[in-house]
Amino acid sequence: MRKGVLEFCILSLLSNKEAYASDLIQTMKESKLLVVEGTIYPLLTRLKNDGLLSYRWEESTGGPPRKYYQVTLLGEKFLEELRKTWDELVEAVGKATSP
Amino acid sequence: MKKTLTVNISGIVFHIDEDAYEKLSHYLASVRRHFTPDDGCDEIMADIESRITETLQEKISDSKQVVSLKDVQEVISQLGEPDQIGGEEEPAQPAAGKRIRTEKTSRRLYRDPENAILGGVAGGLGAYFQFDPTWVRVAFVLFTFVYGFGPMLYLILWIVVPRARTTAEKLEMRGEKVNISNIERTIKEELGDVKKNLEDFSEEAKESFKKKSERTASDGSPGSFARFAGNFFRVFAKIVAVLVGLFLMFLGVFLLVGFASALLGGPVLIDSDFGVQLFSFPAFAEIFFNNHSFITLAIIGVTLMLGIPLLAMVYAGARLIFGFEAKIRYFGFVTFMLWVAGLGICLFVLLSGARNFSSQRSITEEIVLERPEAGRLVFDVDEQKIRSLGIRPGSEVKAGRWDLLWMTETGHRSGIPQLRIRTTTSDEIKVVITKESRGPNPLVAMDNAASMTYGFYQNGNTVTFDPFFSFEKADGWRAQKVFIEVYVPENIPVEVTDGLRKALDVRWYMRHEVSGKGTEKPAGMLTLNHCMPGDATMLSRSLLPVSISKAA
Repeated sequence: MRKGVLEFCILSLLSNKEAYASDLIQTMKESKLLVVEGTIYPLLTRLKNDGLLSYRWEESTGGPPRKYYQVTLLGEKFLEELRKTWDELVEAVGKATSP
Repeated sequence: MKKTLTVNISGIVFHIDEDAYEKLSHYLASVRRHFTPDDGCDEIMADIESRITETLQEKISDSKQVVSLKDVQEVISQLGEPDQIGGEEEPAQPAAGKRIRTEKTSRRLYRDPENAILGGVAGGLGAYFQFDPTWVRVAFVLFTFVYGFGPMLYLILWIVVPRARTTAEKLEMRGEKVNISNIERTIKEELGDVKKNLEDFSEEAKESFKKKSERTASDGSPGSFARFAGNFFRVFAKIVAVLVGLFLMFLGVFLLVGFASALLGGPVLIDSDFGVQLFSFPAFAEIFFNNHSFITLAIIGVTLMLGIPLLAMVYAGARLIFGFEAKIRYFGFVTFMLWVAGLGICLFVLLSGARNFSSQRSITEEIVLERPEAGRLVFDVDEQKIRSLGIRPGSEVKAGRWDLLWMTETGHRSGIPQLRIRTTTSDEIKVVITKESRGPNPLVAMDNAASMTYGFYQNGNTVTFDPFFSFEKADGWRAQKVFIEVYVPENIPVEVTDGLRKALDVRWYMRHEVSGKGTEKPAGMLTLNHCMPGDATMLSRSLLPVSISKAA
């Protein structure tokens, strides 16, 4: 379940603004969504391989070049779908937890 | 003092302690092992390395130039252990084993899209009544025979019952409480294979984008129409498959019943007890083989050779209807081998049976008849014997002309003789009877021919022929034949009765006219009922006296 949620989060974060992995890690760590950083890399690669994300290289001062990810058209559509599922889930949870 | 190494990670040079290096390279190797090239292993590793570089860079300063074991350990704990990164699954769900059905709430009837063959009606009913949906489907199929009730009910339910769309609805369908743990479990089940979902979705999306770009010019709603048409076609194909399946199943079952009844048939070759003609395979095999193990072998062979395809037919029909998969490995292979074995057995039995026909021998007898004092010579058939067989003269006996065999009540087997009437220049009326049979060798063939019985007798002007020849059941059928040649002097007129022409395979080759083609018999002609045993001139040693004494 968490993995689906992680994908959802990554896609929504990137749909707002393009970012590179360490930015994402930081945001998600702040909201306690990420336990270990490593998890995000396979996810990003998979999303990219599935055509939901694309990236461009950017030089950085003093560090290795960075991959900046952005959401593709396909990704936007998938995100919409995920959002729908999520809303359903929230609704269901609300229905279940309300007395 | 410590030895240090120089390493290049993502293009940045680091000095690193030897123990730290070993730890790090071991870590990277074990992370790599968690990915396959399909996952984009190299790319993931490059990303992770570049993250390591960034993190290590933060730990290095002018006063601390070397990466230590502690730094590496920190990096590793930050990135996570290999199975945390690469492990596809979350820690094994402890609840999986003891999936307690949580408190029941009211169930609601939905159609189950995840368990659907047509519209998911059976799946939904199954979930509602806690049945295996397969049985619901069987019930629908059975109800088809009650005035087509099944398909009607199905269609109505399909239209009326809503489809379970949301997770909450699916839980309601199964009568499980809509609570967090259940929802989480269901979602886990659904999203369990996220990768697959993603792939499926991306495929679908790619295609729809392609389609969109193809039809940007004509803006309308062909998409929804295409989907509708696609759905319609799918349902239509399904219905056709189910109909074909039903047909196959019923034909298969029907043939199997017939096949089984033939295999388990009694001693009578063709029994018409229940208003149906029942063919008996064992009786059929008995005609060819007098050896019981051969008969058993033939039955086994035929069972395998014909029974397996029939069963396969029923199975294929059932698969088309219910769409299940074969779970047993090598099932098809084993079945095929059994069929081949059956074929082999049948061939063996056939070849062994054919050996019984390799030689042919015949026995010929010549009998001279008394010349009638006056009037014509009448050839007749022993009607009473025909009656004793339970076969009326006419079509039934005609059918026997194609070498059809039947059993007399005394356990004999019989066949129809051939009668040829010819004129002769000599003064004698002569009858030549040739009995012919086959066998595995000349001796047995001769024996078989000798044990055949055929008779006729003369009573005044009338010569009465037996309607059939017979032979012992134990001899088996060895293509036995009886040829009767009658030579009549030119000056004697001849009459062949209708009964004889119907009963035997009669032809005449006469220069003068033969009367008796009509149905009326000339007045004063002797019939069998008038003849006395004493009057009958026994002309053949194999004449059965039974019918004569009966006639008296």
